[in-house]
Amino acid sequence: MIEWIRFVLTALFLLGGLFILISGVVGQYRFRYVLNRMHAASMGDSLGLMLVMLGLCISQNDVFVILKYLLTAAFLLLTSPTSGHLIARLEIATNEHPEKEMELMQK
Amino acid sequence: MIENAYHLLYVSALVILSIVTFACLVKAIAGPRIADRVVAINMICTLTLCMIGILAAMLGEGYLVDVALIYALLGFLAVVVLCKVYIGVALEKREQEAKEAENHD
Amino acid sequence: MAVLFFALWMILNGRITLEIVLFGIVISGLLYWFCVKFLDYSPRREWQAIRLIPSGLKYAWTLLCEIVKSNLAMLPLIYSSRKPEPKLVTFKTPLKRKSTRCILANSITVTPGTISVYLEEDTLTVHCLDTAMADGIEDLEFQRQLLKMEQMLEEGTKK
Repeated sequence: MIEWIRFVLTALFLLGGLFILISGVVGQYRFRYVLNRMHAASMGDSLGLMLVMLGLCISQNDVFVILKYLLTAAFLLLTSPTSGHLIARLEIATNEHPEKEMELMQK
Repeated sequence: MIENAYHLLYVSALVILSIVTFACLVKAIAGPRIADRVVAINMICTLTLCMIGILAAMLGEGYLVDVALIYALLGFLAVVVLCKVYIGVALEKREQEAKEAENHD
Repeated sequence: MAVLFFALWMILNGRITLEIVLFGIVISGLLYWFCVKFLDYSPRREWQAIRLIPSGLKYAWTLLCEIVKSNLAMLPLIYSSRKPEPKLVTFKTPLKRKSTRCILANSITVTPGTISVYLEEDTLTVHCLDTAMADGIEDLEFQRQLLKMEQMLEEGTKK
């Protein structure tokens, strides 16, 4: 019985993570401009991978394998802002007219 | 019974992930701007990470998770290097254009 | 710090034997010495970091909650036909240390819907996908918690 509860929990987390990842890719096709697409991509990076890894953790028995999964998720959580920041900077550096695509605001 | 259920779950997840990865690859080839392509490559890296993790759980091999960790490292490195190179190229181009404009005057 | 190195070594090895434990202790000791000698790290700073652990954990929890919330806010934007209204917001942060500013920028980037583009001195340029996300940008929960942590650090250095 407890095995089946574990299986259902794994399936829930895994499919939830897959759903977030798929909506990230759908966002790539829906949005028209790069910086808008990046938001969709960062969604998959943060919550999508975290949910998939959590689901896999629930299904495993070995403590060290679970810790490795968590380490991978934490590593991606640390590095994805850096790469996102660099991509945004690249876009601003290569684009000559950023004000066409978005509204500039000063606060 | 429970092994069959796990196997079915993992295989279906892998199939969905591979289809999505292919869609992402199309986007990476078609993307009109450089940043588009880099974003798509970053996305493919994340999807492959998920695939390796699921594969490790399916085969019951713990060491495949190490491969996933190294893959995350390499993907991050690739994105950083690509961005640095293209930012350098863009800045150089801008400088050259400014110089040419000065020469015209 | 040495304890962290040792934990990482054990996780990557995947099993516990006497040899691995002994090697781990030697290697983490050597790495700690390297950090103190070449990377401008000292036991005093370690003590400060240890005192910040409770507020750091609280911050991590807030970050997780914010990630989940903003993901749920992003989903309708993707699947509905409404066009998003992107904005580039520039604002000043009251944070004084470089490290806390860096953490703030990274937290803003990791929550979907907002990406920090530039960070120069105390002005931060943030790209927001929608107007609702741009509204509360200069008064975030992150910023308040980071301010508290900064004050704790200041008190630590005065003593």
